[in-house]
Amino acid sequence: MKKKSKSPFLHSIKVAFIIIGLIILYAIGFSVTKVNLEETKSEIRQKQLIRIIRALVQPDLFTYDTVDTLIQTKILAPCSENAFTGIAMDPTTSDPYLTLSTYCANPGDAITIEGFNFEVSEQIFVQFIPPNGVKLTLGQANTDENGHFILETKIPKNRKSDQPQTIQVKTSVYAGNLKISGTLKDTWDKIVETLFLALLSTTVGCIFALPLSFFAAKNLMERLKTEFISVSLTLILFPIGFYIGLKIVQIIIRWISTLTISPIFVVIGCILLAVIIFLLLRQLFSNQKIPGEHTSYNFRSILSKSTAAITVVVFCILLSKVFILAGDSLTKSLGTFAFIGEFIRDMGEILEMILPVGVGIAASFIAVSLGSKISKSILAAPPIWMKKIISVVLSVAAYAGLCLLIINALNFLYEFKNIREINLYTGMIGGLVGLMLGLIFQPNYEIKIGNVIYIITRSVFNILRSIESLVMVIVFVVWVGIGPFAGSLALALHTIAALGKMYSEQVENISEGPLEAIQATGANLVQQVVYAVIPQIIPPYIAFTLYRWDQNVRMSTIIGFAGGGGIGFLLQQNINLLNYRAASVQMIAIAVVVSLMDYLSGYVRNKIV
Amino acid sequence: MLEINELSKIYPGGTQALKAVTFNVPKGQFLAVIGLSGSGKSTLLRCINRLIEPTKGQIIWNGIDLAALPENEMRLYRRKIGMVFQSFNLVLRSTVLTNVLSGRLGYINPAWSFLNRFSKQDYLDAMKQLERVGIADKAFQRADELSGGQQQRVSIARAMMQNPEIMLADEPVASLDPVLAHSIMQYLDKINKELGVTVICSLHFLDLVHRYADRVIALNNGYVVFDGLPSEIDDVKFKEIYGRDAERVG
Repeated sequence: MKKKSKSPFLHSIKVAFIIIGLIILYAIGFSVTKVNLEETKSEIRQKQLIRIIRALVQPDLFTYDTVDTLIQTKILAPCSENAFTGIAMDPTTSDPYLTLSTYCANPGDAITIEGFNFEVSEQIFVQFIPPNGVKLTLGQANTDENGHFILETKIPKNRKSDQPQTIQVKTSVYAGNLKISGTLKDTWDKIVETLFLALLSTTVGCIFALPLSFFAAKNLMERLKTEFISVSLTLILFPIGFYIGLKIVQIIIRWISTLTISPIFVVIGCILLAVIIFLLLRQLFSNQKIPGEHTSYNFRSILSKSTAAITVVVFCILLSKVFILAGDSLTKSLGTFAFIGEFIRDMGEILEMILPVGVGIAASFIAVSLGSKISKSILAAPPIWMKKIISVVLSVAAYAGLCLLIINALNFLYEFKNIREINLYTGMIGGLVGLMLGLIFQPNYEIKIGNVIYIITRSVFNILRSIESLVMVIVFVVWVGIGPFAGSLALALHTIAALGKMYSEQVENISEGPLEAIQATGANLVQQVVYAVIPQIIPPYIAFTLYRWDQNVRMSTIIGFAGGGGIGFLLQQNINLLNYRAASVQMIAIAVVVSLMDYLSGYVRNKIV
Repeated sequence: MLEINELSKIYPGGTQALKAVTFNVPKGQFLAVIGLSGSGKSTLLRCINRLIEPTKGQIIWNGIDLAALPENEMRLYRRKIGMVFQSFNLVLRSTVLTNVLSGRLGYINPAWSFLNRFSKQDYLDAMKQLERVGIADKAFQRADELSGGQQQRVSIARAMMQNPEIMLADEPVASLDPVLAHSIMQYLDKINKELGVTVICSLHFLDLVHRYADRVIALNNGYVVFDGLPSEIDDVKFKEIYGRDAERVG
């Protein structure tokens, strides 16, 4: 059934209401944004606008060498008994000279300065120099076709002296060839800084976003399912594993700290351990085990595996020391290329910094895999009621522990006063939640844990992405000081979130067929990712990384406004100093670099994809 | 012996793709599954190796119920079930050899798959499988440089790397030229006859069924409507399977 068409009258009423509504909407818009047309017509404003536009279209790109001429005369201010008649001037001379209307005046008095025989039609600057030498500009004037000028001005207050004071006139005359201006040189330096700032932040962002993006891909994560009891064990064992990992690194560092003082030991130890690890790896390669067919987790294999793990940790510690030592010695010997030495040293320090966290994460994953073995044996062996009890107990412990972890993280931020009571209550609430979940879910109920991870990762990405790097840089400036380092940290953090989201969308867009086929061969989730997902996402990943670099170059041009280094810093300075001709140079430089990056990244993207 | 008992699948949208499907497959049989598009053929095959989770029922293979296994154990049984797909499902940006080797993934230590390392024996086996399907010379080309028929042969080689006891083939020739169809079917036939691998193959064309299958199961709207020898499909049965408006081709 068709609806009966409305009468034309009602229709036009409706249209009229819509039009009136729109008019009101835009009227509110005008009043809220304070549209003021009177200002645009004001003559002073127009003059200023024209001045700025003229400055902007005359960028300070090139300059001439200038020859300054300085002509001085003396004046007594304030007047005193010592008679002072000024410096005698010979009016017949062809050299430039100055005359004053008076050679003794009180501060604030008007004075007329006249100059003769100056360069024709040039700008001159008149300065007042007290005996302490601090110059004060009195004014500027232009000489006429005879090289003559008159300037009426006042003797400055607060510059009293009983000594004669100097009045100086400065003219600058162009001499020699056109050359690149200082502004252009500074701009070049800062543009290079900007490009590297963008490169570093994109690289760091890319490194972190790569692994994280898989956790934010729905099509992969929804395959990840774990039994309820295994989730509880993971929640318990992950933080414990992390803590143990951190402690192990600290203990090892303390143990070998006396030995690492000697550089010879460090180098030899590092090489020795590298050889041992290489041999161990070859050993592992030669007898490939078939997973699942025999799981011998006896004491000996655990011992040998943990020994191997500790060897790797010690190797990493020594490696970081080797980097630091090598960097230091290179810094001393390389001269102009000392920055390479510093880079190597920094790499060593980065390794030293991330090692505890890395070992912590590795240890928690080991703990979790141990947990999955434990949960498998729990699910296999005891009777059903026993399983249920174990599952409930574990889930109570797990969720109480989780709540306590969260509340203690919050305590770090909010510094609660009565933390003991709060700990007690949250522990109880978490325990209750765990009890309920444990009673509701069977121990072998498969929880779609992947979806939980997906939602958490996505939310973190979205929150980080919504904070502009211009805002982030404020925090980093407080941490590492004003400069490009703060800027690259802020951009890197933002890049992790932005690239992580873009990457994960690419993972979601892959064709499912190959993934299905690899899954059908009996490959596990990691193998499916390596063999079916990664080959498909390499081209879009490269394309998005380039696009992000391009974007970061654009961002880093303005991140200096907030103290993040790069060309924005210079631009903001010049705008604040009303030095529009210099600001214009920086704006041109930004435009050139941004459009070049756009062409370049577009070209490379076309080549790859 | 593979026993499918009362197997049902209801998709999240509410579509009931399989309705209490029950049948047995003796070891070494070449079983064809026929039926219209959407009758549940693909779902049935994918339920057997649990690429799709069945909603209800049992899949008993050598005394073990595959439908009840947790994912990490199912993975170990999946190694013994090869699968060939209608759209070949090769990783197009990888080489033919890598695609074939990926059939071994279930057998190697997962840590090494990061490094794309396989044992020497695996490389030799992969070349042998490629020779068997007649494209050993293409081993180092990228998979997307191959024609459809060649890609399907690579996918058979990949499945054979698993050393399977069952081969699932989901309309393996549906996107190929009819001329090429026979060559692909002959490879499957050879695997069945010479190596004794059980083949469960969904097909569209009845002449292929007559020529290669030992036995036929027909699905219609999720029900098994026929279970018997290919020669038993007469015009009456045909109408039951494919509906009243269908006409025999060829």
